Amino acid sequence: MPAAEQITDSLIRDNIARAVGDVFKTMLGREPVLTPVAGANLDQVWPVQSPLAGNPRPHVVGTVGFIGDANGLIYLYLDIGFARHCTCQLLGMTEAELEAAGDEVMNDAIGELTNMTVGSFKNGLCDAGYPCKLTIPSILHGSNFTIEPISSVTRLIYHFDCGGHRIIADVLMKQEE
Amino acid sequence: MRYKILTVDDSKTVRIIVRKAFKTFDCEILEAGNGVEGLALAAKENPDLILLDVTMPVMDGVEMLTKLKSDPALKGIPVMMLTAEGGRDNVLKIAKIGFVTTW
Repeated sequence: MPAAEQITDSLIRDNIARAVGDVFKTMLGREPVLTPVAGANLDQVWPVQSPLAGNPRPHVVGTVGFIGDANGLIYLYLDIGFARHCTCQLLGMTEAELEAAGDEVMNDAIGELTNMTVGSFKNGLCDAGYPCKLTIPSILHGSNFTIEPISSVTRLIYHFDCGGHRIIADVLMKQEE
Repeated sequence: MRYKILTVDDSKTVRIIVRKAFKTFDCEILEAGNGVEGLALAAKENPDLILLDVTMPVMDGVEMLTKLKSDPALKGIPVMMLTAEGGRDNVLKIAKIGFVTTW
């Protein structure tokens, strides 16, 4: 079994790009493209600004962790308009039906999309020799908030363009002690 | 003939997605939220296909699949595992119990 510190940035990048691409294409018929942030490389390495720095719009953030021979968390950021659109498309609902159903339905749908994405990412780690399991999903809502990891964590942030909408994958990997 | 498909998943969202996916086909979709409910519904309705999640409360998909395959009346029902817990090792482990495919 390879040591967790041998998990390279390119393994993480390739896995998250494949996972986001597969899930959004299969479930929503969309093709997210990994895009560099202005003035940065494809891999933004910690310390970086919050993924939402300079973006005051409300966002929905799905989170799922993975534990085992590799340990970490992935936050998937979607602005609330796109999150609502994804929910409607995923569940075959109209905007009016979603409005009547309330936030719980959107939370469940975005939680499930995050679970599928992180599951696919985690399966890539398993196949690379780092068996691990998923934790349960959780959801954050809000504007102008930051999520800051502790210093012993490697943080990689990836931006995807999805037909004019932005998906941000914030990958936190625990370093080997 | 109207096929019966049993979806066993603790996520209501996934059960809605399954229902939506089969909307254009002449199928009856049965729903269960865990392995215990799934086994009971399988015994009662004898579905033509079971779509089975792995990680669920009360009874998970691996235990339900094991019980299903050890029951002479139910072991012939095809099972498709529908889970985020893929990966080569997990697939091989579950394949030993017996399923049609995984997604």
